[in-house]
Amino acid sequence: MHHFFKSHDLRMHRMQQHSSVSQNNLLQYCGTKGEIYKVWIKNLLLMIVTFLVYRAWAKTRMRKYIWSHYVIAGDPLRYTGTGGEIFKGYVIAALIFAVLSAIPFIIAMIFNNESLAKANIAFYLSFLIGFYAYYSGLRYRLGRTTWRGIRLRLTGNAIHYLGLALKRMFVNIFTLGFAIPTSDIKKHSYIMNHLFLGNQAAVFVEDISGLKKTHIITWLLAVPTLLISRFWYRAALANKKLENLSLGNIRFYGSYTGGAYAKLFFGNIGLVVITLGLGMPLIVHRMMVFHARNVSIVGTLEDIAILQQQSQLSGIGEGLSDQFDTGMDVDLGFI
Amino acid sequence: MSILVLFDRNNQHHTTFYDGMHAVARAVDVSVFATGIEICDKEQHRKFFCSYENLHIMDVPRDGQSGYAHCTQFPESQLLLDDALFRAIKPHVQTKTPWNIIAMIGILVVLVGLIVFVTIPASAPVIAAMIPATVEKRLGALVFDEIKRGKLVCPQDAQPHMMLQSLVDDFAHANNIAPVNIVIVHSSEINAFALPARQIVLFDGLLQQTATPEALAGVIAHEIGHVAYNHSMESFVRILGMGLIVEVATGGGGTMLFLGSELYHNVYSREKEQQADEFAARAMHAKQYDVHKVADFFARSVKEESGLLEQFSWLSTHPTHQSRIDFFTSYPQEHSSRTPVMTDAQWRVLQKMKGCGFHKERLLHNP
Repeated sequence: MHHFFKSHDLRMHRMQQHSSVSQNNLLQYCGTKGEIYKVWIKNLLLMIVTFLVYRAWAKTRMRKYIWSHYVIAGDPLRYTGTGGEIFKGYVIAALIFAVLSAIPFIIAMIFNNESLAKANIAFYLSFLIGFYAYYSGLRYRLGRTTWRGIRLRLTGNAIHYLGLALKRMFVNIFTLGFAIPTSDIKKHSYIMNHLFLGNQAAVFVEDISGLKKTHIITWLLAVPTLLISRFWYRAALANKKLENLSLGNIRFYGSYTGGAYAKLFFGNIGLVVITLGLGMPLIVHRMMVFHARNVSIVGTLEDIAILQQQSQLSGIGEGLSDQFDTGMDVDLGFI
Repeated sequence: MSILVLFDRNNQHHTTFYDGMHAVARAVDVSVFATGIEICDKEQHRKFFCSYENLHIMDVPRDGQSGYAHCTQFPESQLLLDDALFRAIKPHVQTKTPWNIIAMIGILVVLVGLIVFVTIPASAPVIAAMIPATVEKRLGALVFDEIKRGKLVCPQDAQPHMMLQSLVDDFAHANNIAPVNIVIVHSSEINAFALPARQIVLFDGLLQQTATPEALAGVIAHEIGHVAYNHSMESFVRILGMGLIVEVATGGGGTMLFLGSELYHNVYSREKEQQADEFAARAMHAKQYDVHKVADFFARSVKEESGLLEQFSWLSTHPTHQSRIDFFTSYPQEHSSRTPVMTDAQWRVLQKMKGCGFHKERLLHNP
C-alpha cells in the first residue's frame, strides 16, 4: 500500500510538473496542413517534370518550411542548407555505393569463388556505412540549423560513433537484447554530448533508471502483442532522452506515451493506405504536431550568453544517409 | 548624405535582427532608402547602414514563412523579411533569384538525358568489349548458378545435350564466331537466353512447346545472335550505368526513374532482339534450313498474346509475336531445296530428353 501511494504521489508530482512545464513551454509548432500541402504539391510537380532531379531541392524546401515553423522562445529555427549541397552529397554517395556494390564481384573474381560473393559483403559494408552516414547526416543537418542566427554544431567523430554503434550492437546480441536501453542511451549520449548551440554545450546524463523495467516488460510482451508493446518502450526512451538533456539552464521534458505513439503509427499507416500516398503531407504535419505537443523546453534562454562558433560542413553525409535511408527525418524532425 | 537619406526615405518596417554573434533577437526598425537600408535598434540606441551591395537575400518569404537577408558587415547575421519588407527592398537588391537554381536543375536534367540516351548506349558496346574474358567468365558463372539453383541440368554426355551442342557448333562455325556452349535446364518455363561468357541456357519447357526442329533451330540461332553481338555484356554495362545515374539523380529513392530506366531498357532491347532475329534468319538460310518454319514457334504463342498486350507491346522486351511471324514468313529464301535440321528419330529423342534424368524426376512428381 505504501508503495502504491509512493508511485501515485510520484505520478501526481510528474503530472503537476508537466502541467506547469507545458504552460511555460518555450517550444511551439505553428505549421498548417494547407501550407504543408502546398509545399508538397509544388515539390511533387517539380520532381515529376525534372525526372526526380529536383528531389534534393524539394527536400530542402520542405525542411525550410518545417524548421521555420518550430518556434523556440518566440524565435523560429531556420534551415540554411541548400539543394545543391545535398545533390553533391548524392553524387559522392552514389560513387561510394557503386564501389561497395562492386566489391563482392571483384572479390569473387579475384579469388575465383562465388561463395564469397554470396556472403553478402555489401550488406555488412552497408551496415558500417549506414552508422557513419547517420552521424554525418545528422552533423550536416544540425550544422545547417540556426536559432536566433546561431548555428547548432555537432562535433565528435563519425568513425567513433560507428565504433560505438557496432560495439553496442554486439553487446545487444550477446545479452539477448537485455542491454538495449543502455545501448540506446549510450549512443544518444555520444551525440548529445557533442552538440553545441554556438559556444554553449549540451549536457546529457547517462541515466537509464526506469527504462530497463519498461524495456523488459515490453520486450517480453513483444511477440504476443505483435510488437505493439514496444511503442511504450519507445515513448519511455524518448522521454528519457529529453529528461537527461540540458543546455545551460534550459531543461527538456517529454510527455510521450506508448498509446500516443501507437495511435500516431496506426493513424499514419491508415492515412497512407486510404489516400494511396497522397496523404503524405498530413503525416508530416501529424508528426510535427505530435513532437511539439510532447516536447517541453523550459528555462530562461536570455540568461545564457550564447556566441557563434565557426565550423565547416559538407553535404556528403547527408547524401550517404539518404542512400541508406536511415529515416532520420522522422525521428529527428525535432532534434 | 543625411539630407539625401531624409529625402530618399520611403517606408519603415518593424522586424527582427540577429547579429550572427549573440543569440539575441533584436527588435529593429528598418528604413528603406535608394542606396541601402538603415537598421535601427531602439533598445540599444544603435543604428547602422547596410548598402544594397552588402545585403544578400538568402530566403524569400513564402509558404507562410518569413524570409531573411544577410548583411555582410555582420557575418552570419539574419534580418527577417516579411512580405512588405521584401517587396520594398527587392527592386534594389540583386536577389538570389531561383533562375540560377532553375538553370542548374535544367542543365542537370539535360545532362542526365544525354547520359541516358546518348552516352550509355554509345559507350556500352565499347566498354563491354573491354571487359576481360576472365571477368566475363566469372560473371557468367554467377548468373548461371543463380538460374540453375534447385533445378536439374542435362549432363553433357546425354544424347539431347550432344545433339543441341552439335547444332550450336554448326551455326557458330558457319558464321565464323568462337565456340558457344549450350546447357539444357529442366524447367517448365518456355524460355532460352544467352548469358555472359558465350553460354546459352535452354529450358526444356521450350522444347515441349516447339513443333518442329526448324523452329527450335531458329530459337537457338537467335540466341547465338545475341552471343555474336555480345548483347548480354552490353546490357550488363548499360544496366550498371543506368543504376548509377538513378542513384546520383535521386539519392537512391528514384523508383519512378528506375521504372523509366526499365522501360528505356526494354525499348532499347527490342532493337537487340530484332538484330538477333535477323542473325537467326541469315544463319538458317545459309544452312538451307526452312526459315519460314521458325514462325511456327511464335504462331503457337500468338494466341496467348491478348489484344491488351498488343496495345502495350512497346512495354515488352521482345518484338510482338505477330511482327516476328511476319518477319520469318516473309524472309526471302533463294534455295529451292531444304535441308532438314535433324531426322524424326533424333527429334523424338530430343523431345523426350532421353538420358537427361528429367524423366525420373517427372515421374517422382507425377507418379
